[in-house]
Formats: sequence, C-alpha cells, structure tokens
Amino acid sequence: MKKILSVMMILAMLMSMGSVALAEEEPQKITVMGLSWQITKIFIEEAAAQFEKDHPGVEVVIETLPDYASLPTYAVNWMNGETDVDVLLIGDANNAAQFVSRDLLYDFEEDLKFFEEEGFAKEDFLGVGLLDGTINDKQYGMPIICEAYAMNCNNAAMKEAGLWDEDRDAPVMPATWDDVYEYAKKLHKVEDGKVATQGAVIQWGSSTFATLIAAKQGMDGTIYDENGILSFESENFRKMLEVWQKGAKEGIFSKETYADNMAGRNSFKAGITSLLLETGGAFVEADVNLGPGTASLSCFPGGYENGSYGFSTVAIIPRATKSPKLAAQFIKEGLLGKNSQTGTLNVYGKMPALARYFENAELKDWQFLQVVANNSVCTPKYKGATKLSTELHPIIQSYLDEAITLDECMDKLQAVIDSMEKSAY
Amino acid sequence: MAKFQRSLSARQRTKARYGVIFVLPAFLLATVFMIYPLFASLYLSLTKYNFAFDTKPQFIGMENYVKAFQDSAFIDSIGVTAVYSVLYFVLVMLGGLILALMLFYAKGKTSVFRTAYFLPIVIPLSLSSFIFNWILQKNYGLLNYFLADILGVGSLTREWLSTNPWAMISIVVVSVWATVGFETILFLNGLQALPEDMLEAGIVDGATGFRTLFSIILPNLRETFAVTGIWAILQALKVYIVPSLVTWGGPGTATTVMYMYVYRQSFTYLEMGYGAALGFIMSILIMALSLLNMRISKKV
Repeated sequence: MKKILSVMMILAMLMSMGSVALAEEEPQKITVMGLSWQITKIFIEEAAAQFEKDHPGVEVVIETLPDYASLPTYAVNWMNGETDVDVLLIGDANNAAQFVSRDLLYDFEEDLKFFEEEGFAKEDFLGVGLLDGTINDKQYGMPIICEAYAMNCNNAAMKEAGLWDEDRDAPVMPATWDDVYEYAKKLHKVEDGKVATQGAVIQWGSSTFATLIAAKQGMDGTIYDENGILSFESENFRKMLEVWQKGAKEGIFSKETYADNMAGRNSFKAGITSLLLETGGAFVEADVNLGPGTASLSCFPGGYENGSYGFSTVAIIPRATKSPKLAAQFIKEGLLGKNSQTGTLNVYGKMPALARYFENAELKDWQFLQVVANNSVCTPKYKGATKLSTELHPIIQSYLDEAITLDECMDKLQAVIDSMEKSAY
Repeated sequence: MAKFQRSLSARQRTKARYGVIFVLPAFLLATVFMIYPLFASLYLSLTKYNFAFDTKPQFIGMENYVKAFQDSAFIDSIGVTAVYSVLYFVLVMLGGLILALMLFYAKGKTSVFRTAYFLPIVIPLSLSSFIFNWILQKNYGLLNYFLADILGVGSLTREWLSTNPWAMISIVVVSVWATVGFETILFLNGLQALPEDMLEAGIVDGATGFRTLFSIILPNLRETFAVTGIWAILQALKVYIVPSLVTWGGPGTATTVMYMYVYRQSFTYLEMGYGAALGFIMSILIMALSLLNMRISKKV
C-alpha cells in the first residue's frame, strides 16, 4: 500500500513538472482567419501547408471570417482573454479601432520585434502598406497585400482611339480630369440606343471616398489642409466634380457602381468598359478573362507624380493568443513568403507588401503602380472614419444626379469631415 | 361526493403541474431570447454607448429619442420607407387578391400555377436580390440586353438601379415578386372558406361577375384582409434585404430605408445606444400601423 502511494506521488510530481514545462512553450497550433477571397487570393492554404512541412509538429488551421460585421464578437472574446484565432486578416485598419482602443492587439514593432529580422526591415516594405497598418504611431497591423487606385485601360480600345503612348508602349496618362472626359468621350459608343462600349466607369459606390482621396492627392499632392485636417476643398476638386457631373449626365461616365461596387470591374472584365478608375489590380482580371495583353494601367490625373489612394489587407495578432511568436513567424514565412507574395501579384493583381517581390512581376505595369503606391496616402485614422465609406457616396451621387448644387455638395462633404473626431483612437 | 370532488381537484392539480412543466422550456426560451433582450435594449436606448470607444454605457435619459427626431437622415429614411411601403402594400395586396381570385375561379388544375406563384418565397431573398442586381444592371444586365438585343427597343433601356424613380420601382417590383405568392395563398384560403350556399344564393338573386365580387365576396373577406394587411405592413416596414442588395440604398439616399439606417448606426458606427433607440421608434411605428389596420378591417 505504501509502495503504491509513493509511486502515485512520484507520478503526480512528474506530471505537474511536465505541465509547467509545456505551459512555458507556446502551443504549436495556430488558427488563421480571413475572408474567403483573402484565403484564395493570398494563397493562405498553400502557405499553411508549406509552413507545416517546414516545421514538423506545427499545425495551422485556416478558417473563414464570414463578414467584418462579426468583428465585435472577437473584441468581446479578447477582452475576456479568450480567442479562437491567432492571426486575423482585416481589410481596413479602421476596422481595428475597436481592438486598439481596448489594447487588445500586439504591436508588431515593440512587442514582437518584427522589423529586426533581416529582410523584414521597414525599408523593405511598400510605404503605403506600413502606413495603413499604423495606428497611434504603433504598428498594430502588418500589411500583407496592397492596392492603389489607378486607371485601368482596355488596350485595343485605347489604340483604336489614338490614346496610346508609343514611346512608353502604354496608355496615355491624363494630365487633368478634362482629359479623362475627352478620352472617355472618344471611347464611348452607342448603337441602337444601347451602350455598345462604355467610355469610363469611375468608382462611385461605397468606395467613393477612395476615389475622392485618390483624385485629390493626384491633383493637389495632398489631402490635408494647412492644419493637417482632411479636406476636399480646392479649385481643382470643384472643377473635377463639374466634369464628373457632365460626364454622368451624358452617360459617358457610367453610374453602374451606385448599386454595386463591383459593377465597374465586371463590365471592364467583360470588355464592355474601356476605362475603369478604381483599384489598379482590375486590369489583371481582364487579362485573365479576355486574354493576355488586353489591359494596362495608367493613372489618375497627377497620380504618377503625387501618388494616389492606397490601402492594404493587414494581419493583426490578438494579445489573447497563446502563440504570438508562432503567429508572427507564420506571417513572415507564410503570408509574406515568396509564394504568397508573388502569386497574389501575378494571378490576382494584388501588390505584395514587401517591395522586393515586384522583381518577380510578370507585367511591367506593376513597376508603374509601385511608383504610384509609394507616393500614395491612405484613409486618415479618425474616430468615426467609417462615415467616409457610408456618407460620402450618397452626397456625390446626389450631386451627380443634380439633386444638390456644387456648393451644397462641398458643404455636405465638409460636414461629414467635421463630424469625425480628428484624434486617433 | 365531497371525496370525489377532492380527488378530481387533485387530478386537475396534477394536470396543471404537468402543463407548467411542458410550457416551461418555451417560456424560458422566450424569456432569454425575447423578454430579456427587449428590456436590455430598452435600457441601452437610454444610454450613450459606442461599443468601440466606450467602456460602459452612460445613462442619458431620452436624449437618443430627441436626437432621432432631429436627425434629418433618419427622417429622410422614414420618408423613403413610407413611399416604399405605400407602393408595396397596394401592389402586393392587389396582386395577391387578383391572383387568388384567378385561382379561385379557375377551379380544377391550378396546382402548377399555385406552385409558380409560391416559388419565389422559397428562394432566399438575399439570393434573389443578388440576381436581380445583375439582371437590372445598365451595361451587362439581362433586362437591358433583352430589350435592346432581343426585342430591338434600345430606347426602353434604363439605368434601373442608379436613377430615380426607377431605383424605387425596381426594389418595389423585386419585393412584390418575392412575396406576392404568400399573400395569394392567404387570400385563397379566405376565398375557399366562404360558404358555397352564400355564393349560390347570390347567383339566385341575380348577382353575377363583378357584382358578386364586390357585394358578396370582398365584404366577407374582412378577417382575411386583417391578416393579409398586417402581414403586408410588417413586410413593408421591416424591408432591408432588397434595398441593401439591389440598389445599395442609392442613388444618393433615394432607397435608404429605416432599417438600413438603424443597422448602420448600430453595427457600422457601433453606436449601440442610439441604434437601440431608433429600433424602438420603428417598433412603435409598426405596432401603431398594425393596430390601425386591424381597426379599419373590423369597421369595413
């Protein structure tokens, strides 16, 4: 009896020692979550498989995030110190506001020392990507893929209309919005009362704020006033809106994005639209659909010199995770690895966050967009910045439909900006 | 006799006890998922609480309710919902009644038609809204293609989703298409419940065609009108999916209905207190109109 008791006590002691040792190591399993298009276009499943192969004993589980509307439930879990996700991909750093305000995220720079490893210094990244993941001067979001607003062009239509720069072997770059209107007018064709070729589609849906920021940055070189506050007020901007209204009234600029953000890309990919002014990756989709060499990139007026609007998909790591180091390692080796970064560029038209992977680009247009992206700005980190994506486009649409005057439009835009707290979170 | 009465009471008491046990699960479910959230939301509507930036709700009394009636965007959304509701209510009630009368008078082989009218209800509304968004697109939509390329009347093509009044008409038509089948079934049930001898008596008295319809059939569908009317009002006022997915609330705010605005306040801006207040205002509005409909139906 005494022997049995002694053995049991020794076993109990050994088990408790073992459990302490295990607790000091991170669990070798992480869960990575993103929207279904992110999982596909960033080749996350492939990255996970390769990471497991390179690190035997590690398990990477991929799960789909249904919608960004479900993010508050994660905030509730993380506040209680619980999480079922270790790496979460979000499309707009402003979505991270609810986490940052409660200190629920790791700072990649100070907490995880992410930039200290060779090849992952800040200079190695595309500028606008790091900017988008910076909140309160801290790197809470690690950019994985980046995009910038540009002008996607149908090559055949541009050449036929005499809008091709033979020296650059690329579409002409408009100097002003009057130029954009004239190009679209040449490209627009109507047959038997139906639009055979749409001149241009400008993103006027819920992403109108991005179009406005891209346009203002291109024309004026800044989106801020002398006090460093977001402002659309300028003579160039007003002239641009007048051109937009004229083009919309004549049907040369299509309003199809009112009811579907993707409508412009769909009609561009189908070869119906000649110019698409929105995210600069759409031309790759047209190449995939209609054949290589179908489409190329140009830029918004002034965009090549002054930049445009840039945005990223960023990865965040919650403080509630038990495997922060493993999560950061997966981001480095997997999401920022060569296969994901190059694949997403050449197949899906998403720019890599790490600048070195532009060397692997199959199309020269990417070097063009890299220059634009490096000078680009992203959405200001204001409290209530979500209003930019919900309240600007109805105002612009109302102006384009002549329901309000230009002065009323500018006043309403300013009112939306005034209603946001300009401080960080 | 007294002993018998006592044992009967004991049996009844046992039955009552079992009754409570059977009802208890449903009562608990209702309490947890309906009654408690209702009162919790009511409290929330009296507070200022942004889920992202506030650590806890701050009691502000009726301020949210006052703010709602000074909020021009909310008032506009009520106006849009009112226009939509009137159009939808009239079309779905008329459409449902006409289809039901056709089925009623057809007699015999109507199962194919009944299935066809009811089929849109079976399709998830979000799915059909996505599809209609594609059908009604200006440049690559099926409707404009059919009008221009098949029928050769390109002049009839329109920007169905991005100009007024076509955007409002589009969402009304899609909503009526999706739900008229249910109204038809409700009306048909009411028609089939009418006593046959009443209709025969009318014919004997010389009532035919529209006379029978207006003098005998419609007055006896009063209770059916109450049910179909309330259902149509509820469908109209709580509309959300169709304008969200077909027109995205545009052009401008021309199809931004009340529920879209409430959703935006609560789940986009995370203003939980204000969103809760807007939700209660909407609920009161819907209840008031439903009661009005019941009163009118009783008087007619």
